[in-house]
Amino acid sequence: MQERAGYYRTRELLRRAKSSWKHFRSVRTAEVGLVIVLCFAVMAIIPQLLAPYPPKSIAFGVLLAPSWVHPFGTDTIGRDMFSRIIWGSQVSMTFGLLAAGLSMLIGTPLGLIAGYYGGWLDHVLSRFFEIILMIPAFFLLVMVVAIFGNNLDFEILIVGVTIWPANARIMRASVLSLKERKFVRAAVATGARKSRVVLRHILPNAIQPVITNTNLQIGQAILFEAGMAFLGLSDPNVISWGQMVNLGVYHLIDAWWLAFFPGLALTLLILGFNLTGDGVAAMFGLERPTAAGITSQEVEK
Amino acid sequence: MTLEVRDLSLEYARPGLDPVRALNRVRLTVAGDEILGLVGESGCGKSSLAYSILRVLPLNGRITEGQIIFENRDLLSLSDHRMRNIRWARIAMVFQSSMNSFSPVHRIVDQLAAVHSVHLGSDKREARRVAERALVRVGIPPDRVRCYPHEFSGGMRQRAAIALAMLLDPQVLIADEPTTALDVVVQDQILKMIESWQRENRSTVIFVSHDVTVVAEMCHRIAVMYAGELVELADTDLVVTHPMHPYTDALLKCLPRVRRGAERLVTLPGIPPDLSQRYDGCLFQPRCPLAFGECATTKPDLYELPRGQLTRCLLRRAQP
Amino acid sequence: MNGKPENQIIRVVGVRKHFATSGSLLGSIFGRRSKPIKAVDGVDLEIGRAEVVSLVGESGSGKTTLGEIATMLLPPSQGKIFLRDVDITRLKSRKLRRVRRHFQIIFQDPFESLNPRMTVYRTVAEPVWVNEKLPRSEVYSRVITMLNDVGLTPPEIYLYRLPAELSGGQRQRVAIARALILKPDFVVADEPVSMLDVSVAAGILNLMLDLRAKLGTAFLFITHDLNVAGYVGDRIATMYRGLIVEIGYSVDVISTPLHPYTQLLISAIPVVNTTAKRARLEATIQVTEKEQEATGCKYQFRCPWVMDVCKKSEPVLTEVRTGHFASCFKYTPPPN
Repeated sequence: MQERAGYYRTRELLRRAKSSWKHFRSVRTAEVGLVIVLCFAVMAIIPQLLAPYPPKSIAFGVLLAPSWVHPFGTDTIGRDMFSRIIWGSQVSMTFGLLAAGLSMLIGTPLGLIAGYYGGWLDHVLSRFFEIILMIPAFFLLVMVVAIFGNNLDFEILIVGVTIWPANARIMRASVLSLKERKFVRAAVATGARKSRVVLRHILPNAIQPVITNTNLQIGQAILFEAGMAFLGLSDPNVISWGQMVNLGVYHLIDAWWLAFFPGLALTLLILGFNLTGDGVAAMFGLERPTAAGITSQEVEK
Repeated sequence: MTLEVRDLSLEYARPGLDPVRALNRVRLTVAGDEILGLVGESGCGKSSLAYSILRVLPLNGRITEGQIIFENRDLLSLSDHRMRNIRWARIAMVFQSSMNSFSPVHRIVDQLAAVHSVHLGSDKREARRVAERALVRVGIPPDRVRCYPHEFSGGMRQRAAIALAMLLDPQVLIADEPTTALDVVVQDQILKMIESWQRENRSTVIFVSHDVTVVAEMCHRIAVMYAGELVELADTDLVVTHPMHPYTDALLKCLPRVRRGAERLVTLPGIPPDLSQRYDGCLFQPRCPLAFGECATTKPDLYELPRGQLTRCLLRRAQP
Repeated sequence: MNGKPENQIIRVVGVRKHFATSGSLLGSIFGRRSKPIKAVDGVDLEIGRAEVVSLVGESGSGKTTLGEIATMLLPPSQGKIFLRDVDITRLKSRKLRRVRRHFQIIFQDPFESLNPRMTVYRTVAEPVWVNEKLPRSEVYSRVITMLNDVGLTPPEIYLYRLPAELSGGQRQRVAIARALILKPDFVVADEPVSMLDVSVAAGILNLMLDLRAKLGTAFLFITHDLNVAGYVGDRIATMYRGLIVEIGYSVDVISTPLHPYTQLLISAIPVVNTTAKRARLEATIQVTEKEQEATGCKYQFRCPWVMDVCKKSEPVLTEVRTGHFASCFKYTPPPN
């Protein structure tokens, strides 16, 4: 009997996967976003295979305009821009994903606790969120760099630790609205412990807006890193698009390609994540009932 | 004949999925001075039909064929401008859950007065006067007329919505589930109100509801819809005592009724068909207790029966 | 009230529920305390094994609140609730959680009452997981049996569906399966069919009656629809503004309603048989705030028989005929 169920289970999972994909695609631009993100992901994972030249090699002519040999030109000390762009995706991707991931990791449980337990705990936590929000991440970063020097890991940490309150508040609001939903009360009625209600019923449903927001925060974090690099505050050992823009800004007129391509890469990557995020948000609509429920082939007598 | 729906078909587009055919060649005639009941369960198309008449379909609704003749003109072919003149002044509607369709930041009487002046160009004072009278007529006490919507109970807001619909003395009033979500006592009062309004003005009321008992009590004729099609249309007495379509029969049999005693309700198996698919044969066939071989392959027309009943069932096909 | 005491599953005694309102800012400046809303204002009720009591009332009558209190989803402001002999209002949270398996609730909105991200299997299995330690195969077979019992056959098709992939009727069946899988003694059904199409509703009502016969569960069936109340209920109780104003066997209450409110409700039911026109009673509109605070019988402002005594004292539920109770001074002598 249970084997038969296994068949149905796979069938349902497949059907749901297909439906999720359909929902994702229903936002027209989401696929574009996904393609963009995947391209950059590939670049970040195997840059050595994609880059035509070593990114730090200065063996080429200085300030060469884009050509077939050097599609994005070369920079002020003769490095190939195309390869540098490819290698630069590593920093941006990791920064974005790790910082946003950290933000979600911190914000979700805190928001959950604040929202579910309420009372004085909620008060204290909410004030805590507000205090963190007040911290200007930017100046904090400057301070950290001044004290500890340029360190990418620290930067990721700082960003993650300063942007999480947004997620916490969203989570808290989400939990507050879910607390009174009937299915939560039904779970309480079955005698479930609070922890079970919170983890199995509230969390999976409350986290959806947090995921959407985290998606946006990826773009936010990438921009952050680029901004820091642009101001010369990033680790000079890594290849960062922001750094490239920093160097290129002085040559906007005579060597436009120095700033243009890294800027374009940044725009595209952030755009890609945001568009994908729209698609992911549409996928959450899976749980909204459809007009007919199920198809007529399954009309039971 | 006041309003005639001719072969009306309607589709709702869905992004990334097949469109849903909400109405399939619906044919219906409504006379003046009558209350026509439009009955069916969720998804049968009755609200879609109502919205089509008033041309207030949602953006993804597309009328693929048919005409709606009113006062010798096809409403579907009118320009937006001309339709706006007809809408509300000649044909008005009480929407489902109208109680929620008032602006929360304006007084109820002002909202009605605004409609009056927009349509008839009346000045503020005249419009206010008419609005107040309309509200009092539906049973709202004169001292509460200047309240905001949130100060009214659900029942009173629904009455205000009805007053709004009756404001310009339309020829046709479409009431789409006007008493859902209201208590039975309030429902009774509202039904009485609609009835007396219709009697006084000798106008046409199309009463849309899933509640067969309400419709049966109020309406002169009943039209039953299923899966986007009209399946039965006849005088109320006939429909209630001698339903000609198995769906109507099932609908009548599955209602618990206090006065009928505790005989067990008869239930319909299955669910309505998925309207994004196309089918041969009768749409009710999968659930019909009286279905026979041909029902799955031949689509029944609307057959006319001796006492003026129309029914879409092959069982009635060979009537003289 | 209903047979021998040992048959009584659930006993509600003197339950009141007051909700504090926040009041107005101006009011609090002037020291005016906010007036509480008396959602339930003194209810006694007993339901016996395998008995269905229908609780009828308008919105605002307190019937939903009473249902939630009876399942301790809401604590009463006053009063007690006895499940068999245990006063569940006095139980501490851990003990209360253990006892919850004996009383369950079915909600009105079939979509809302199911976790949208949990499959049917997990939803129905959860009560078992929470309350018993059984091997996976045993849980599985119980779920399958339950799904069969509620008419979701073949059950394997439904096991791994999400609520959004079910129709309203199917969802409500899942909710019923979840409520009954541990064979509770008592179930509160809060308007379980109001949001369903009539043909689907009929199936659900029949299902509940069948399960009642099979499992011996007692039901408190909350509804605003007297037709449904009469169909499922062995007894009917009508509720008005937080009080039960009439209670008796369904046949009696429907054929000879005693309390004017019950009479009003019955007269408001549309009649399908078009030859017999029903007598429609006149009814005034809602009670105003001032009237809410008046002393005396709560129904005095709508009552066609109101007398002087009604404005001064409140009547109590008294047995007017065998097994048929009403709270109205027309039947009971006023207190002196």
